[in-house]
Amino acid sequence: MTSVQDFAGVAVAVPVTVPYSRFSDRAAPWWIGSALRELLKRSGLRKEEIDGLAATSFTMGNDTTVALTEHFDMSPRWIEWLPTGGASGVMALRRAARAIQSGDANVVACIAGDTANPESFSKLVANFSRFSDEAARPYGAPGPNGIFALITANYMQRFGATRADFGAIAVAQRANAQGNANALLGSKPLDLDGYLAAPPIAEPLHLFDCVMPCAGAEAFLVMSQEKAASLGLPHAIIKGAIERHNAFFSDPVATRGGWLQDRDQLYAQAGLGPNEVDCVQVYDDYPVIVAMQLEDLGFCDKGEAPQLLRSRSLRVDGDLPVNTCGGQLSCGQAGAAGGFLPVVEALRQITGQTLGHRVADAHIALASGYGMVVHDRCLATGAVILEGAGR
Amino acid sequence: MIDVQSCQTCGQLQYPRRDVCRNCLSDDLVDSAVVDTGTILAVSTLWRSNEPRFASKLPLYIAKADLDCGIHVICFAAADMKAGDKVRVSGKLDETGQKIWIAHSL
Ligand SMILES: [Zn+2]
Repeated sequence: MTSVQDFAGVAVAVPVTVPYSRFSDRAAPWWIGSALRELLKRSGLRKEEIDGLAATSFTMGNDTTVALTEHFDMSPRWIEWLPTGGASGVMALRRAARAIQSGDANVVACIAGDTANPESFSKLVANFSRFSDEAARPYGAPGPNGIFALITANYMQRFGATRADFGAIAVAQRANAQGNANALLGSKPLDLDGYLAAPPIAEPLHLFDCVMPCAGAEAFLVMSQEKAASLGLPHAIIKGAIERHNAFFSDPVATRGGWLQDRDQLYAQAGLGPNEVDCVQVYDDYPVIVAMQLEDLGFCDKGEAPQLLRSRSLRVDGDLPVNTCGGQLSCGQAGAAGGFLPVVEALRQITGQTLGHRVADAHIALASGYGMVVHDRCLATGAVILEGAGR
Repeated sequence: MIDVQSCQTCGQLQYPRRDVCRNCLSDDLVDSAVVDTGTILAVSTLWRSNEPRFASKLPLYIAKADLDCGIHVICFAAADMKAGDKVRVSGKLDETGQKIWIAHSL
């Protein structure tokens, strides 16, 4: 394989979260525009200085990033649209970083935002994809719950995982959410008994295995390190980043994702290994996907996440801090913004800008993404390793 | 036997239906009759549905089946089916005209 260019000189800065709301009467551009306003306020940049815009949303109809430029009176020379949901954060970051390195843009605003109301979710699920309409929706219209119930059941069968193993993830993330005012479920304590006693949704999935849809936005800026330094912005550098789509497509039920295919390159590019990562922010649409990412990103071998979950602590003050803001399982799933959450929380941890509790001495963070159930698994995967710098 | 889309150029079977062959990209595709047996890989009991038309039928039992012909499908299952069970699948049209797969115990 030819070696991949590194991400030298690129800074990631200004983690922004527009506070989530269970339902919203506002349209998606309000959420995205509010994030942009906050990016400008916190960076001291003028709107005219943002010459790159990468955006994602599930609730803008046929509009994409270019429609947002008119909405906000912007004339960027570089735009990107990322219709890849849970993988959109890592993908936006990778693309924005290359735009900075090539000189195609000076400052890129990366923003994900979605509204939520009872109609928006059912509309989204009903017309999500052609393959899903043929091969998943006719079976009780279970949405992603049904797909990930089958993935979870298969994982439990093959690797001996129990409901309590997945409960350890949900319970740790709920504890992590305490102190994060943006976590919609952060003030509702959850213990293992409560997790196990929850009503079934799509067995083996029960209520606390499923995310709660909500409205919200997540955003960050990408620029050169010199620019970030001149603005006095705490920032992170990109040690390594990967993405892979439709990996292992012959597997009849997903037990692994694209991270596994490229993780050696990720750690080689970063010049470090999993043991040197201070906190891990993974996409958590369902606990089994957290387990899968911990395996595929090298924190344990395939099938050994149950053992890991029995012996290590995923809490902010634990020996393997994971989803330190509570993740989507405790914050809510703000549409595509859920795909930005791992990147934004990673950036918060290593630049000392957390909403809730901070991992002591967090310096290196891994963020990963997983998006788009076109049929029976998510197709888009990515991961990035960030290091805090210039505080 | 069940009908599954197959490629006349390379022999690939595919599901869901595609406009070209997933393997060789030929558009010379026909429905071929293939063996209808397979193995259940995973089962789920659904207690929630996103569509009102299923509400009165809950709970529903669905499964992922790995068919001996080489495709894998989500299908309706029986309440007592479990991973590892050998099954036969049949296709039929649901009330909306959509083709659905149903697993039967062997
Ligand atoms: Zn072919």
